[in-house]
Amino acid sequence: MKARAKTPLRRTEPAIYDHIIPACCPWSGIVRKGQILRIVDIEGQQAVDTLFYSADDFSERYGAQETLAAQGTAYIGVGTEILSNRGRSMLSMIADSVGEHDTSAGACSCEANTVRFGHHTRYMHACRENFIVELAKYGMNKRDIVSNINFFMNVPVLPDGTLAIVDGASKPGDYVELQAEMDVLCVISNCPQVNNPCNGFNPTPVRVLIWNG
Amino acid sequence: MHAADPDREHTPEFYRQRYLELKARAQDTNSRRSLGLAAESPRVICPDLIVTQEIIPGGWYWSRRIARGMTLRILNEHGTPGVSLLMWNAHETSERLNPADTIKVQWTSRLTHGKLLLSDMGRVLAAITHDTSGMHDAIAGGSTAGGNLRKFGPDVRVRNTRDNFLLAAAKHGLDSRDVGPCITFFAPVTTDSSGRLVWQEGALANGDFVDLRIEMDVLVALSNCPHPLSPATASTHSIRAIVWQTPPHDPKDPCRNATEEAMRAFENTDSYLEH
Repeated sequence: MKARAKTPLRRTEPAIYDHIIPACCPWSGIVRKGQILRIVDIEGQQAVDTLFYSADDFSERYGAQETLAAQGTAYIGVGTEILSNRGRSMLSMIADSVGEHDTSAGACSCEANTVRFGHHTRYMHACRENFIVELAKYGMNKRDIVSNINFFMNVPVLPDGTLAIVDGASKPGDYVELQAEMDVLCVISNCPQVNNPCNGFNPTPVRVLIWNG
Repeated sequence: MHAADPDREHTPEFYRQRYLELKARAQDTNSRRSLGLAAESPRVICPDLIVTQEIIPGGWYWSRRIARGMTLRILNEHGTPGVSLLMWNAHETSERLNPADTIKVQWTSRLTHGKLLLSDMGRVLAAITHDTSGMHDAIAGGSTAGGNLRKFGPDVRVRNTRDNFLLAAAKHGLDSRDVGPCITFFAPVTTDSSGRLVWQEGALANGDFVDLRIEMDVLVALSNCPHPLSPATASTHSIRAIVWQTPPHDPKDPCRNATEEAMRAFENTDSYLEH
C-alpha cells in the first residue's frame, strides 16, 4: 500500500466552491493553478471517474500511462504527480485518506458492458455516457475520452497479470485532495455502474470542494 | 443465476452474486489457458501469403491500413525492448484501441495468445493468434520526450513513441485527440506485491513475434522505441512488420470461443460488419 497522508488536511477556511454531485450524474469545473480540489466519497465505496484537460488547450489532457510510467507504480495515491499526455504536471495529489486508486481500468460504457456483463446490460447508464454529455459543453466528443482516474475504485493488478475490480476500500467521508499545477478542466462521472463492486452495487452522491491555495 | 426470483432481481445482492460468478468463471478460464495452447498461425509464413513487409528502423514508426482477414506479424528479430501499437477503425476513426477495456473485460493485463484487442465500442479489432513472447504491457504506455529527457539526460537525442504516434496519426488525417493510450509489445513489465512496476530483465528473446489477426478494417500505427521502463542502456534495433493473408476462420476458432466475454465481443463485431 502507498503511504497515506498521516495528518489529513482539515481545512478550516470556507471553500470557494462546494457542490454535491448526485448519484450517477456528471460534473465539470475549472480548477485554477494553485487551487485545491477535494473529492469526498460521502457514503463510501463510490467510484469517481475523473478526467483532466488543460484549460488553455483541451488537446493536452490526462495521461494515465505517462503518469504511471513516470512514478513506476500501478496506482494513484499521495505524492502522485498527475501528468498530461505531453508529460507536463497537471495536478499533485496532496492528501488521500484511502490509499490506492485505479487508473488502468478506464470508465464503463454501454458497449463494454455488453461484453463484460451480457447484451441485456446495453441500456444501463454508464460513465462514458456522462463523459460525452459533459464534454459536449466544451466542444469535445468521444475522441477526447482517454483512460481516466477512478478515485475510490480498487483494482489490484497481481504479479501474474490477474486484474479485477474488487470491493472499494473507501469509508464514508473518505476523500482525496489535488492541487492544480496548471489551470485544468476537471470532468467527473459519478459512476452509475451496478454490475460490479466499484460502487458497492449501489451508486451514491459525492461532493466536490475547491479552495484557493 | 437468480433472474427467476423477482424479489432478488436488481438488488445489490443480485448484482454481487452475478459479478462473482462471472469473475470466478473468467479467472478459472484464464488460469487454465495459461498452461499452453496450440498456436493458431504457423511459425513460418508461406511466402505466397505475404502482402507486404516492412523493416522499421530503431526509433521509427510505421502505419498502414490493414483489411479484415489479414494478420499483422510484429517480428522482434533483435530483441528490442518494446514496440508500441495504436489501432483505429479505418471507417470510423473515433473508434479506437482501448487498452483499459482490453484488460478489464478480459480480467487480465497479461495479453497473449487467445486474447483480443478491443475497441472502445466493445468490438474486436484484432485477435492474438500466436505469441512466442507473452510479455507485453498495456499499463505504462510508450516513451515520451519528457520521459526520455529524464532517462537519458539532455545530451542524448532519441526519438519517442508519443511523437511517432502524432506523426503516424497525422498521415491519416488524424491529430493528437486521436492518440490515446497504447499497448506495447515485447515490454516485460509486471507489478510486484506493492504495486511497483518492474521490468523483467532477460525476458526478451531475439526472433520473438506476435500475430494480430485483424478482425475489422483498421489503421495501424507501430512505434519502434524502447518502453519507458526499459533500462536506459537498452539499445534499439529494427523490427519487421509483416502483413499476410490469413486462412478463413475456423468455426471453432479458439480466440472467438475462448471465453464468454470473447464470444460477446465477436457478436458485437459480427453485427457491425453485417451492415
